[in-house]
Amino acid sequence: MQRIARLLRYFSLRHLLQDPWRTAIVIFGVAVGASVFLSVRLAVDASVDAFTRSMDHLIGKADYAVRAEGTGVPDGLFAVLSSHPAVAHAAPVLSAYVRFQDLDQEPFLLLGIDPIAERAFRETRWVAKDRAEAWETLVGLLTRPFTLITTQGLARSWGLKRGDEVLVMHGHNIARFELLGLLDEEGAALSEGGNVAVCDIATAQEFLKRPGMLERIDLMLWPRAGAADTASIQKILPPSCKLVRPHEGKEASLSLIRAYRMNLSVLSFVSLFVGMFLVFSVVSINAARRRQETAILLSLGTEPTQAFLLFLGEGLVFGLAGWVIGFPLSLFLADRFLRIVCATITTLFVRVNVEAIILSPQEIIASFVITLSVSVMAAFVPARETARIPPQEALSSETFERSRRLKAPTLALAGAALIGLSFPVSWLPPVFDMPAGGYTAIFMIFVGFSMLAPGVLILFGRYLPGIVAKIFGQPGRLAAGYLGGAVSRTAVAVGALITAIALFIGVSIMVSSFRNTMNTWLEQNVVGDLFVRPDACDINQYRDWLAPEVAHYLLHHDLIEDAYVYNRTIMEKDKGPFLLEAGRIESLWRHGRFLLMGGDETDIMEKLIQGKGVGISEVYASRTGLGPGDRLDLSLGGVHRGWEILGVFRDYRTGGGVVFMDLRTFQEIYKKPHVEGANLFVKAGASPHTMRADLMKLFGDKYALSITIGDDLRRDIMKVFDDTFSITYVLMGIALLVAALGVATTLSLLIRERRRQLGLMMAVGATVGQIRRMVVLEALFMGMAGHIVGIWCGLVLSYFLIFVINKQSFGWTFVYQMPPWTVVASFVLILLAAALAAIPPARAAARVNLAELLKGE
Amino acid sequence: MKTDKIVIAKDLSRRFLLGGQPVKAIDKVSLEVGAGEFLVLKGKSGSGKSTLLSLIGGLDRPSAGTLEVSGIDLSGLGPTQLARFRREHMGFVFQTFNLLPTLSVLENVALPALLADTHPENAFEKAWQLLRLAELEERASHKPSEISGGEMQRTAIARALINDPTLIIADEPTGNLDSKTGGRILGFIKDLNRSMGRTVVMATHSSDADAMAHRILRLQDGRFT
Repeated sequence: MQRIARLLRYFSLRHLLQDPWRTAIVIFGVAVGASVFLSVRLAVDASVDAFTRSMDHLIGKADYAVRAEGTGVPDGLFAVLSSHPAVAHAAPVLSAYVRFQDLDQEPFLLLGIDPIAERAFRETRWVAKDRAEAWETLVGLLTRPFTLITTQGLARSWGLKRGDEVLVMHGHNIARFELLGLLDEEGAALSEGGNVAVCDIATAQEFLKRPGMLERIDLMLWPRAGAADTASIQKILPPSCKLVRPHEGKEASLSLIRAYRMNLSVLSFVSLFVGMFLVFSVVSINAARRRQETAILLSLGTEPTQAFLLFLGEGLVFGLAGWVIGFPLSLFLADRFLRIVCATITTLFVRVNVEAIILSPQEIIASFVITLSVSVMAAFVPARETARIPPQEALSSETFERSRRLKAPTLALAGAALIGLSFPVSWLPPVFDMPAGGYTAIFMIFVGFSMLAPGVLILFGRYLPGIVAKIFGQPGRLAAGYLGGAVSRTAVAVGALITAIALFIGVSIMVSSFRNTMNTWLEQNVVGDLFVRPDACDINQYRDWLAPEVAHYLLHHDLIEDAYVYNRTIMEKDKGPFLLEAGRIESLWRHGRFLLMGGDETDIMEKLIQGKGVGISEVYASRTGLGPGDRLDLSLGGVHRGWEILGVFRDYRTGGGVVFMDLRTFQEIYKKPHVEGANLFVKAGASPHTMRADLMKLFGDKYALSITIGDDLRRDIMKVFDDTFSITYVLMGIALLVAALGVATTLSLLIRERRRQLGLMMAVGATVGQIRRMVVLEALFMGMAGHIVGIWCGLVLSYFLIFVINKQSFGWTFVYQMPPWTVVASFVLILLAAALAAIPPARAAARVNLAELLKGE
Repeated sequence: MKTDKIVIAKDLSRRFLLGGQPVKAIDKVSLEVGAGEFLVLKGKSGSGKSTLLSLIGGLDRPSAGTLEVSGIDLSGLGPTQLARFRREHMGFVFQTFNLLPTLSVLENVALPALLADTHPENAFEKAWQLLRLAELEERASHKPSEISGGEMQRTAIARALINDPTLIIADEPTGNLDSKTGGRILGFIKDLNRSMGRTVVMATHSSDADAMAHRILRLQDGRFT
C-alpha cells in the first residue's frame, strides 16, 4: 500500500494539481452529487425522527389502546377496563388540534387527559416552585373547567403567563381557557415540536362537544398477561371498539414516509450518478493521456495491479475530496430542503413538526461509503484498461486511440439488451413495500442508454460532417468528424448528458401528466363554489362535524342551489388506514363527475346513488388488490355490512385510499347522522364571497370553521402540488449542472490533448474564430447526441415513474401526457448548457502558442 | 569479460498480427550474453531489435522458444512476476528518455528504488550518488521539461542503475540526440560497462558504438545475419 500511496503522490496528485481548475470542477461535481444525496436524506430523516419521537411521546408506555372508528369510545368503558384483572393501568385520552385566538395561526395539540391516571403512561409534569404549587395546579386542572397547561415554548410564543386567559378555537366550539401552569420540557411536552397543551379529560369532552366519549383508552397490562387476557379484554368491549397495538398507525404512516424518502433518494442519487460519469470521464481521459507514462511505470517494475490501484486511487481521491467538500454543503442544503420536505410530508402523509436537522451517524457514514464507492466504481473501467497496457509501449513514441470504436456495436447491443431487460425487471413485485424492481429498471435504462452513446457518436462522425459542412463550413465538418474519431473520450460525457436529459424529460412528463390529471380531477371531482368544514378537520382525522345549526342553515339557505354534503371517517382495514367518504353523490353527479377508470359510468353512478354498492379509489384498489365486482366488508360502529365494488375512480388524496358511498344509505345503516362538511353550489347571481362573509358573521364567534371559496381551494391545492415538486425541480437542475460540468471538463481535456493539432490548423491558416467555432460546435453536437438518446431514455423513464414507481409507492397512476415543450425546453437547455460549457475550452483553444508548439517535442 | 551467462535464449520467436496477417518480428533467434559483456545489436528499422530487447527485458513475452535471464525462465512468468523481475534485474534506457514529467530529476532516478520498497531516505541517497556520477547534481530539482536532451538521457541512465540491475537494456539511447551529446552518452554507458562491470545490451544505429562493443550482432527480418 505504501508503494501505491507513493505513486499516487508522485504520479497522480501532481498531474491533478497541474490542472487545478479541472480537478476542482470534478471534485465540485462529486461534492454537489454527494451533498444533494445526503441533504435530502437528512431532511426526510429529520421529519421521520420528529414524527416517531412525537408519536412515541404521545403513545408513552401503553401496551394497547382501545379505539373506535368514527364514533369514539364510550367513557364508561374506562372504569370497566381499569378493573380488569389483566390491566395494570388505564388512561383515557381525548385530543384535538385547536388554535389560539386566530384561525391563521399554527394549530397545536390539545391533549385531554386524566392527570392522575396519566402518570403511569406519559411524563406530563408541570413547573412548580414546590409541592404545594404543584398540588394547587393539579387541583385546579381537575376541578376548574376550561383550564389548561401549555408547554413553555407555546406560552412564550403567545406571550402567555400563568393566570392569563386565552381564546381556544375548535370546529365545535370557541371558548376562553385559563392558563394554570407550564409543562416541564419532557415527555408529551416534547411531541409536536412543543406545540402541545394539556387539559382535564372532562374539560376536553365539554369543549370538544363530545360528552361521554373518548378518543381512546390507553392500557398497560401486567407483565404476566397473555393472549387469553387480551382476548378477554376484547370480549368485554362493545362491537364498535377494538383493542389495538398503539404503534400500528405509526408504522403505516412511517411506511409511506419511507416510500417518499426512497423516491427522493433515488432522484438525488441521479446527481451522484451523473457525477460518476464525470469521474469516469476524467479518469479515463487521464488514463489515455498518461498511457505512455503508465507504460514507463510498468517497464520500471510497477505491477499491473499497482497501476490498476493507482487509477482506482484517483477515483478515490475525487470521491474523498468531493465528500469532504460536499458534507458542509449538505448541511446547508438540508436546512433549505427541510422546510419543503416537512411541508410535503405534512400535506401528503402525516403532520410533522420539525425543528432542526439531526446529524445521523448512519446517514453520514452511508453517504461517505456511497460517494466513495460510486467514485471508485467510476474509475474501475479506466483503471482496469490501464493495468492491461503492455509495458513495451514505453519503447514506442506513438500514442494510441483505444479500440473503443470497435467495441461500439457490442456496447450498443449490450445496452439494448439491458433496456429490454429493464421492462420485466420493473414488473417485479415490491420488496418491503418498496418498488425495488422499478428502481433497478431505472438504473438499467440509465446504463443501457448510455452504452448507446459510442454508437451514436460514430454515426454522427460518419454522416454529420457532410451535412453540417454546408451550414457551418469546415469548422462544422471538423467538429462532427472529431466526435466520431474520439469516441473513447466523448462517449462518457455524452453518457452523462443522456442521464441528465432523461431525468429532465422523464420527470417533466411525470409531473406534467400528474399535474394535468390532478387538474382534471380537481375540476371535475372537487366541485363547489364554497367549501365549509370544521377548522383543521383533516389533521383531526375527520372526527369533527359541522354544528347542526350550521348544517341546517347551509342546507336551507335561499341562495344555495345545491350542496354536496358528506361524512368522512378514517377507517382501518388490512393493517392500513383509508377514508370512507359517504356523500350526497347525486349532487356531485349533477355538477361534476368521478374520474372512472373503466366500466359504464351511468350505470355505476346510478347504482352508487341508490346505495347498491361502493366505489373505491385507485389507491385503495392498488393497496388491496380489489376491483369492480369484488365484495368489500365495512364494519363501523359495530355494524358489519358487505358491499359490492361498483367501480374504481382516480383520486389523489393520500392516506391509504378512499371508499365512496351514498350518504343516506350510510346514515341509515351506520347510524352516523352528522354532516361533516359541505361543498355548496350557489344560485346564479349570488356571490360566494358575500356568503362567506355572512357565514363568518353568523357563526365565526361560536365555531372555528374553514370556509373556502372553491376557486381558491383548487388553486391552493395546485400550489401545494407545485410546492411538493419544487424539490424535484431542484434535483433535476443539479443533475443538469453536473452533466454540463462533464461536458466542460471533457472538452477542455480534448482541447489540451489536441493543442498541437489545433496549432497546426492555425499555422496553415485557420482563424481564431474558426477554431473557437469548431470547439463550440463540438460541444453542441455532443449535446445533440445526448439529447437524441436522452429523449428515448426519458420516455422509458417516465413510463417507469408513472406506471411502476408511483403505482407501487403511492398506489396511483395518471393519464400519460407528453408535453411537447419538454422536448423543446430540454433541447434548448442542453444546447445552452453545452455552449456555455464550451466557452472556456474554446478560449483556451485559441490561446495556443504556435511557435512553441511547432518547435516540436 | 566474465563468462557467466546472463541471457540464454533458444529458438526465440515473437509473432504479431498486423492487419490480420501474421508477422514474425523475431524468428527462432538463439543468443547468449555473458556477464559484463557489452553487446550491440544493429539492423535497419523493423529488423526486430526493439522486439528482441523487449523480450530480454521482460517487457514482452515470446511466442515460442525459451528465454532465461539472470537464471530466471521468463517464459513461465505472469505479468506481476515479470514486473518484479524488471524491478529487480533490469535497467532500461529508452530512445525517448521516458522520464515522468511530473517528477523532478532526482525523483525520476529514485522512482524504481521506491517501487522496490527501498526506504525513501536510502533511495534518495543512492539517487544523489548516481546524479553525481552523471554530473547532474545541479539539475536534481528540475523537471524533465527544464533540462536538455543529453541531461534527460543521463537522468534515464542514472535511473536504470538505481536498483543495481544485472542487465542494462538500451534501445537507441542516442537516437534523439545530436552527435556530440550522443557521443558523451555512449561514453557514459561504456564507463558503466568497463569500470562498473555492468552487462549492456544496446540497440543502435550509431557506428560510434562499434568500438565499444565486445560483440556486434546484426538483425534482419527477425534473424541474426
